[in-house]
Amino acid sequence: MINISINTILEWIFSILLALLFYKNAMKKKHHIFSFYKSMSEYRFFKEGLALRVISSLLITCDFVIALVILIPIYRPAISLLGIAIQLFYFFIMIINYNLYSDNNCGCFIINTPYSVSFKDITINLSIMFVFMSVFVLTIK
Amino acid sequence: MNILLILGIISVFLYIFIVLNSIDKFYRGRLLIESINDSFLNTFCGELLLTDEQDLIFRLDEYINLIKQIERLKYHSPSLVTFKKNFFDNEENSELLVKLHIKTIPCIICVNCNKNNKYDTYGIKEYLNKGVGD
Repeated sequence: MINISINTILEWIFSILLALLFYKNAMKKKHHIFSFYKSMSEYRFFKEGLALRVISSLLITCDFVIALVILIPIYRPAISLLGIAIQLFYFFIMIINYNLYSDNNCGCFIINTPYSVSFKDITINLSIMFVFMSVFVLTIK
Repeated sequence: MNILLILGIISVFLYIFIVLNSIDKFYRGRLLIESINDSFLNTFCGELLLTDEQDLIFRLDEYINLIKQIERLKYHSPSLVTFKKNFFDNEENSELLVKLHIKTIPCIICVNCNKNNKYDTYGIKEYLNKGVGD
């Protein structure tokens, strides 16, 4: 009889949910790449230019990487840490841009780059970070 | 597997970076309908232009270059262009416009073009804003 612990089941459920969420988000960002870039430039942290183009590309790549690699068990702890780092980064950006209204944001991104930064968006960000932490803890146990 | 993964990540990053660079470069060359005046038209009369989202204008040659680079992305949906009178003499050009689903107007509206290049800028803005013509 196959013996699967509740921890493993939870780990897989969380991982699949995160993979779906980040894949959908990454696809939206890829299709509306300029909107993502412009909304990043409107945040009080970045200026338009080469550095921001690199950062934007890196962030979209990270979304794809998380979506794919979190499904491979041996890489899961490392990817969970990457996910936590990404969510922390967006958390910091959201805090310093609280209530900011973005003219160039298409409003179509699922997480992390909202049309206007509200308490709800920050809560969602923290929830996703908590899920990443759960995956990390469940994986290294 | 590690090497394949790293190569995959680098490829995705480079692809996104190249696409973003192309679009950014393209957008920096955009022109607002509001900027249409006689000096603008003296520069661009006879050039191929198209509007996107009804408030921006692009040069078609640059647009086509972008389309070629990011064909799979399908980022833009052009709505209207102006063109030289003899543009459709070239069959390849006609096919290109059809392929790109670009609507066209006959030419830039020019009042007394032969004499002193006075343009009906209001009429041109109206045309571009309404997105008329097929």
